[in-house]
Amino acid sequence: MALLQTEYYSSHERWQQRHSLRYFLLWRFFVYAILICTAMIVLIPLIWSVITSFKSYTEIFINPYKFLPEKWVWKNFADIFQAMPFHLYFINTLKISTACVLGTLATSALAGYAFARLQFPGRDYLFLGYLATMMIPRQITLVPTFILMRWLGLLDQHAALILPGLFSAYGTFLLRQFFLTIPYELEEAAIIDGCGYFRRFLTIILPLSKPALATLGIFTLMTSWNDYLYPLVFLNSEKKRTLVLGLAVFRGDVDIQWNLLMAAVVMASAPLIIAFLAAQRFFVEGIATGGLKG
Amino acid sequence: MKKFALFTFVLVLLLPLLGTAMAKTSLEVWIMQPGNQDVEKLLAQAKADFQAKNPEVEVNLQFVPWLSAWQKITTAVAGGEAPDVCELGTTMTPFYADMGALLDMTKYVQAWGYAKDLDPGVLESAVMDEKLFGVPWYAGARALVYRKDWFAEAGIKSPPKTWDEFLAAAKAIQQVDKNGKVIRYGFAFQGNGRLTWLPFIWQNGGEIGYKKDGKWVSGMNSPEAIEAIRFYADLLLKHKLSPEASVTWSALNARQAFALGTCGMLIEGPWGLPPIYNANPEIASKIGVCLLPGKKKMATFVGGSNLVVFKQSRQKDLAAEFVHLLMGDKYQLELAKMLKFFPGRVSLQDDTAFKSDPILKVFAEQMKYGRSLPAAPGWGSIEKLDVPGVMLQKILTGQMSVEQAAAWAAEKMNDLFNP
Repeated sequence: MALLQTEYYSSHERWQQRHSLRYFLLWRFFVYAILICTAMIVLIPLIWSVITSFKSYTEIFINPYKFLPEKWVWKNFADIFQAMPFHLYFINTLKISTACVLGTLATSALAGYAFARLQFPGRDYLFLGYLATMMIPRQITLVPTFILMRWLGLLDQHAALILPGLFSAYGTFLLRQFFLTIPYELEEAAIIDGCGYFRRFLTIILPLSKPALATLGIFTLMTSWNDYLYPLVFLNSEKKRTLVLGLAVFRGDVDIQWNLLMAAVVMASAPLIIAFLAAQRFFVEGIATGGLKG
Repeated sequence: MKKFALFTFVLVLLLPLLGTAMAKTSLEVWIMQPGNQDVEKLLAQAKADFQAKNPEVEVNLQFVPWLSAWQKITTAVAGGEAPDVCELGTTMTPFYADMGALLDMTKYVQAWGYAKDLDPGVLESAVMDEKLFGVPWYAGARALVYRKDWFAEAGIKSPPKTWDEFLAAAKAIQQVDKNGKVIRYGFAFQGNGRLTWLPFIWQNGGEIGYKKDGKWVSGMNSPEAIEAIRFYADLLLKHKLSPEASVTWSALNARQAFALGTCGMLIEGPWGLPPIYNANPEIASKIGVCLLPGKKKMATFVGGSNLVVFKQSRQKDLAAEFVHLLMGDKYQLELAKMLKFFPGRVSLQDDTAFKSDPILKVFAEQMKYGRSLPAAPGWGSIEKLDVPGVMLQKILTGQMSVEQAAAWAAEKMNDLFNP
């Protein structure tokens, strides 16, 4: 943060040298106006869904449209628990997502390090082959995965979702590229101190890669939290469902209960937003380390 | 850091062991998500009933969202884990029957004595090569829902019976304010609701698809069909009886527009009325229902569901027994009342509950003119590519004339009909 602020003030000073304060304020007003407009485009659907979650069913369709609800219906949130075991679905989703995130981080970091630093015959071909799997859409591997899981006896188990979620070609690629940007000199210094590969990986590479790990963690969390297709196909028991599957309860064939659906969506996406805010710290830290290395 | 890495490793190694063993004989029953908690409770009761009679069986009842049903069921069939009992929409049944995935239910239905008692409209979708691949569970037909008060204001005495009267009524109730802005539209057009407009082809004596010398042929480019498609498209294009946005409207949007008083007529089934009342409770007293207008004959599309048993089932008799339970008087009647559909067994459609209600009575009458979409093996692909819908869009956006679009659709359908 401190670094960023120094930057900001120095540009402010440069501005003052060239222009009067009035121009500076005008310019800043202009920049903020654009930023706010852009932010609104992104935020309005989000705000709309939060607002809708507080409306009664009748009020959603009222004509002319009113942005704010006449009466704030808190009951929608209680009704969700009537319509589905929200807490159960929440725990299920949390369990699957956490396992996928931890697993992906572990396997991708190890594989990424191997592809970035280890020398072994056929390394680059192996890496390319692994990368190529990213070209195959998940819909195509659905049936083979289904048959595999059936053979393993894991259908209708959370393990059927966790196992394939532990590995990520994209994650390996992302981390390998990041590891390559870390100067090898840092590791050479460690080699002189007698560190092996694993020690260097744990004490040098991993701590320096927090921004990349946070990014991958957030991406994996988002994909697995929001996944619909695989849970839909693999899970059968009502008690084992995930949140996204649970949302379907409000989407009947003839009617959609928008207010309840939105209330459930708000509650289901809150953890993602919290996770994102928590991971933000690492992004900023990453910029700071970059500055120090110069 | 070391501890963390170790922990992660152990976790990764242990995860595959999370799976646990299976329990006693289980019967997988997949029902489409009803979006109605009463129905869910009723089915839970059926499950309890069945388990009381067959204590060694554990019924695993699951609700599948309509929109994703194709994906889930197809994967399950391909993967060898199809459910024992499943509800399939009328348009889905021929697809799975043609895949060879469904069990011929003829002998069971005869044993129950229901062979002559099944709704003919839905039955049309379940019969292929003289085999019965599904048992009609519930059925419902679309009729014409209109605003009684608007009709009275426009001086219309009786609801329309023919296409001409329908068009005249729609024009009569349409209202424009002094700035030329339309404040009331005559009709809720659905650019994206093929089930509402395809029956116009039947009404004009045409066919969507028919069997000729053992092969399925599309009837979309017959003169009757072309006239019907033109009549429907012109409601929007020429007569502007519906908002421009209705080019993309589905049943959901049209229903909403009717509920909010934007449009005065709607092609809708009885199941669509509760959402309308929910969105606008005041409208309930102003709604009238009449049979869909006809031209050469009367016709409507019968929506509904079949109960099927998959061939992969390891306990076919047990599965059929569960279907039998759901087809019994008690569950048929209760379910129909909750869903606002009619029972799949014709003898129950005459139940007083349907006859005494002035609105349901009309829908019950409409059922007599009910038909299903072609039960052709290729219909599933036609449905998935939405050939009729794409055809209508080509006309509405002015890309093609009605004749060109109908010829395009007929060619496409002929390719897909006989895979």
